[in-house]
Amino acid sequence: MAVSNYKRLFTLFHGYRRWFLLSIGLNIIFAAGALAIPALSAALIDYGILEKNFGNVLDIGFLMLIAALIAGVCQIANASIAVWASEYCTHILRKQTFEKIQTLSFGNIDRFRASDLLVRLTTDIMNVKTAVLQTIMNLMQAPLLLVGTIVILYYTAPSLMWIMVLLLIAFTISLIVYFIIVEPQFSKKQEKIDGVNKALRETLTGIRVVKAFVRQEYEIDKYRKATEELRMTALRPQHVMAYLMPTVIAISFLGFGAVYYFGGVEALSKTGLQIGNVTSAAQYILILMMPLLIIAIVLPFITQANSSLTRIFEILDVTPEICDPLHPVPINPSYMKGRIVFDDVSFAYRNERGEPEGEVLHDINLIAEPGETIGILGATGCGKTSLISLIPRFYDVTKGKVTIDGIDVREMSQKTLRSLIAMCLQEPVLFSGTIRESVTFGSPDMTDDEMLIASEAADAHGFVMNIPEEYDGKVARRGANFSGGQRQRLSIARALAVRPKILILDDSTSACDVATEARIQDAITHNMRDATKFIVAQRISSVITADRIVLMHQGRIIATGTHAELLAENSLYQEIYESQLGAGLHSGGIV
Amino acid sequence: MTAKEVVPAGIKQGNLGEMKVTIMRLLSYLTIYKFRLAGAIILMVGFACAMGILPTLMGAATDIIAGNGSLEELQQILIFFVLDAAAVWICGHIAQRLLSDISQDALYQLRNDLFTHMQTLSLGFFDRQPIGELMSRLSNDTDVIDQFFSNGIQQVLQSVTTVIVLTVIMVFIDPFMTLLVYLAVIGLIWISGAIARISGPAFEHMQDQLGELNGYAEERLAGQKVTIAYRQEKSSTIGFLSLSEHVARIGGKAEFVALTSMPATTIIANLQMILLLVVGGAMVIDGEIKLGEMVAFLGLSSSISSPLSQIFSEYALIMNAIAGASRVFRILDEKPVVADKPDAQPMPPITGDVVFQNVDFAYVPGRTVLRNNSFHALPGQVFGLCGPTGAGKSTIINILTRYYDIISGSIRVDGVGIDTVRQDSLRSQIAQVLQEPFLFSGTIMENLRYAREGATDDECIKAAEQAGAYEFIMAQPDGFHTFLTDGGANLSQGQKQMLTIARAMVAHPHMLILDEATSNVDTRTEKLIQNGLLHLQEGRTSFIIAHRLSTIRHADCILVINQGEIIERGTHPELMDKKGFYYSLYMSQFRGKLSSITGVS
Repeated sequence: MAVSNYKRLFTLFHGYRRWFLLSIGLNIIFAAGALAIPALSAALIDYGILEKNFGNVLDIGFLMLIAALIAGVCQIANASIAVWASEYCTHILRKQTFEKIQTLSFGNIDRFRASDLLVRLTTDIMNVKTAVLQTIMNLMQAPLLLVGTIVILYYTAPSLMWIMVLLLIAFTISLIVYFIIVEPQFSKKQEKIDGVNKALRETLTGIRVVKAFVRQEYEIDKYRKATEELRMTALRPQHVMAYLMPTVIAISFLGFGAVYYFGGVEALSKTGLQIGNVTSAAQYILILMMPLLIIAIVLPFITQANSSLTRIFEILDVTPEICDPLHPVPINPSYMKGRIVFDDVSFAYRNERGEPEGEVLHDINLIAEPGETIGILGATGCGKTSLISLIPRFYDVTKGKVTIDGIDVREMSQKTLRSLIAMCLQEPVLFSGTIRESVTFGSPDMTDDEMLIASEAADAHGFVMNIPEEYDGKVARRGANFSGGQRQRLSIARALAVRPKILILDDSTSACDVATEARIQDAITHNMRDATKFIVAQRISSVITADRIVLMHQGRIIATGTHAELLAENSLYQEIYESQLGAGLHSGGIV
Repeated sequence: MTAKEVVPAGIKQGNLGEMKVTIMRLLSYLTIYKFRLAGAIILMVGFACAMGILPTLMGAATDIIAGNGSLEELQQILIFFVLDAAAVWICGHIAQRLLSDISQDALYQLRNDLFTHMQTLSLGFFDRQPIGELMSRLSNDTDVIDQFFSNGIQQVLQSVTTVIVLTVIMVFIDPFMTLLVYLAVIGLIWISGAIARISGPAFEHMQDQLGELNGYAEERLAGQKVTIAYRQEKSSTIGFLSLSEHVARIGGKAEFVALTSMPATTIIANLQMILLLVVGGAMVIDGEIKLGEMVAFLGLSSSISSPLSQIFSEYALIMNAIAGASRVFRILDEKPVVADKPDAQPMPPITGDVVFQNVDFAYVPGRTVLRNNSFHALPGQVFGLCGPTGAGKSTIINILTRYYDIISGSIRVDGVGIDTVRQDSLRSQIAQVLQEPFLFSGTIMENLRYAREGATDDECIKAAEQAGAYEFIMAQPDGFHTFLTDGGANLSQGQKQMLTIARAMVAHPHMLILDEATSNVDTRTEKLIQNGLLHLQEGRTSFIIAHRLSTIRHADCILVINQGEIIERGTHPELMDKKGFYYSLYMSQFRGKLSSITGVS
């Protein structure tokens, strides 16, 4: 699994493979240089100092200098490859992922959720970057240093090899202990930290409730328990480390002792080893520890990046729920009238496996004539938003069909279809930039006049003109510098500005007061006489002026008619009316 | 309504005095464990000595070998090696254990101090910043302090003691060679410093750009549906790609500079070794020092450079921890704005006579939100508050429960000024149902009992029945013991609201505040909720903030608030007859279509 992820990652570098070969070459030269230095220092002691030959000392010292410089230069050159490779693949992954996301449909996005997509696009890709960087920069050295050390010792001090093998075994065991016992506990600590943060977040968000019921003591107690758990969990890996680290150090001390003792015995009996061989063997103990240290540091990055890659590839491999037909019906948008027919439509959202699950709309039949204003009324969760989402084909019906001027929406290209429609989504999302950019988002090359008409109709012009920069005023991320009502009005202006054949407002004035809402609706009726309009709402006052009101309940249309008709005939409508506006007319003294 | 005031960021650079104070205060969390800390430091010194003895043992062994010493001498050295290993193990183990215990205790203490203190702060503090922001800052800050205490402290102590001990040993063997070693050390410090000076700002720059990229991605992904609806997928991608490329380029530069530090320090370390070999070699040849001393120096010098570079790599961690600590301490130093008077008495049981007299209020000094408000509610009366968004309805509630102190005028409950009694004793008698129903993770029963510790199961169940919540609770998998994850994410808005009403009933309040919030609930649920609320109001002075006017039609008195002032007051019929602000507010719900409506009704 892990291997196949990395294989696939490697295919990103198609055409750049030679850089990896170069990196391997640089690593080999670096390892050779690093390994030569202790051997040279041995020679310096044996042939220089012990033979009292200062010329040799200088010569060998010079060789060491060259070896050190070459190793350093190779490592720096390799660093540049590592950096290039990591940044390159990060960029490519970001590009592929983002482009892929742009092809996804509403259904895909619902299932992935925006926050999750963001994590994959940011954190996960950064994890991959770190892993690539560390692999090229450090991990590739590890086997080279390990093998190199053993080979050199085999030739210079074969009789001390057994010490190295024992040390290697001891270090490897420590490493395994580290990964089996310590690593998992560190992630457990992270879990407990999350727990503590969750407790903190809960009291902070509920601080009013805490204060209202005077439960500070209780909260403090709860938090104390969470931190106590964290303390206990955090201590466990540290206690293991308190055994492990000194053990590794003590073992290496014993290794040095063994090298000097057994090497010394041999050197004293003059059976082959020289003093320099002994001191350099001691240095190789340090080099022997390096690859294991590298593995201990880098391995967690690699495993983390592997699960990140799985998540990234999951996006890259997903099929968009909605695809264009092979041969879309050619359409000239300017000849479209906007007669919309729901013909026996049923609909269900799709589950993880892409199968429809739990029908939310049942047998919907509805005709909207060009120019008509249809109000759709009903409680949360009754299927209003699902119904209108079928018109721009954000989702596909599971039964029946939706047609515009007689053409099934599934037979048009999505681009053409959506160019006919402007929709104000429930949540008024604005993108950062200027106000102008926000209003002209749907067709950036519209004239200023067109923009002004739209924003006047949406009752946004007034507050925009109060901003010193007017239409060049900044919109902060997610429109955070505007109130909910202002955001809604800007998003209505954005919809009106594209002058659609079909206009859909999904609960788009809920944050505006009733008078503002009335002004906007009057302007829309006046400005967009020809467009077919859908107004989705929970408040009766929002749909009271519609040509027809469609009353929905639990996924079905239970009544259609004007306000007056429904009020006279439909008991549910009367009930809603009673609760929202009450017997206002009587007590208001109008009748 | 919230006072927007940016909380100052961490320490500004160059403010050494403040930094010192912060460090001392942070360390004071450790120094209270003085015996354990002293023990740990002593053992650290022992550890460093054992580390320093190792190279001298190697040197001694070299001399024996080179000087054709005896096998017995070599055996003795071997015993010393073993003893040294034992010493390093014991000192290292106990020191590390002591330090990790101390640092976890300190962290535990710090976290709880912070939390306990925040519970005493007034709402004004929490208004200053979005809770999400405060939250992520707090968790980041405690996180960096955690890292510093869990790893940093130990590393720094170990590095410092090692450097000192090794230097002493080196000077003891040969002062001149020590100078050589320090020459290389200076080079090392210089190089690391130079690299840090370049890569530090480069990383900061990259972090900024990365933040920009992530912000763009976050915004675009959150609004992906808008992008689809307006067919702007292409322009969205173009914006993202240009940012991504920019980040890759800048990030590459920063990363590369940082990566050169390792090879650079390795080169310096090697140069140091070569220098020692050549100069030391010459001295050995001249007979000034013994070969063993030179070998010992080689070992000592390499052991001194690694703790030094360790201190460097901890530098960023330390600075982060200090910045985090200074923000944490700033919160710890925050005084509650609304404080009890020293002689404050508990509020006697409330009957519900509420008087506002000429009350002025401002969240931020100078920006008055409420002006000259007066009214008098008699026990058991229902008061409705209405008016446009931002008029000050919620503010009246906030000062009645003394979440904030007023500027002038007085608020009296049963004739007692609320600023003279203990806040907790006042609030515990007033139940509030807020607009956003907030539940804690825990079982439904625990949530109900939250209102009053010691409420029996029967009392909670009875409250649920009265609130109309009993049926849906019993329909949950575990009834009253159903666990609500994440504040009741598994419940509908209406169900959550019914639970908060039930919770308010459990409190047995003497007064009631309702921020009416039924806009997201279907008609039938709304009816249930209204019934529950009526139960709750029985016999209690109640204040109801109305968003939909129908809910306060039967109130004993309706206060119409606009721009911080009560502009009209009276019962519904009185206000309708007046044909003023309330009338037009009420009628705008029907706008325009009166003819068609009157025709039918």
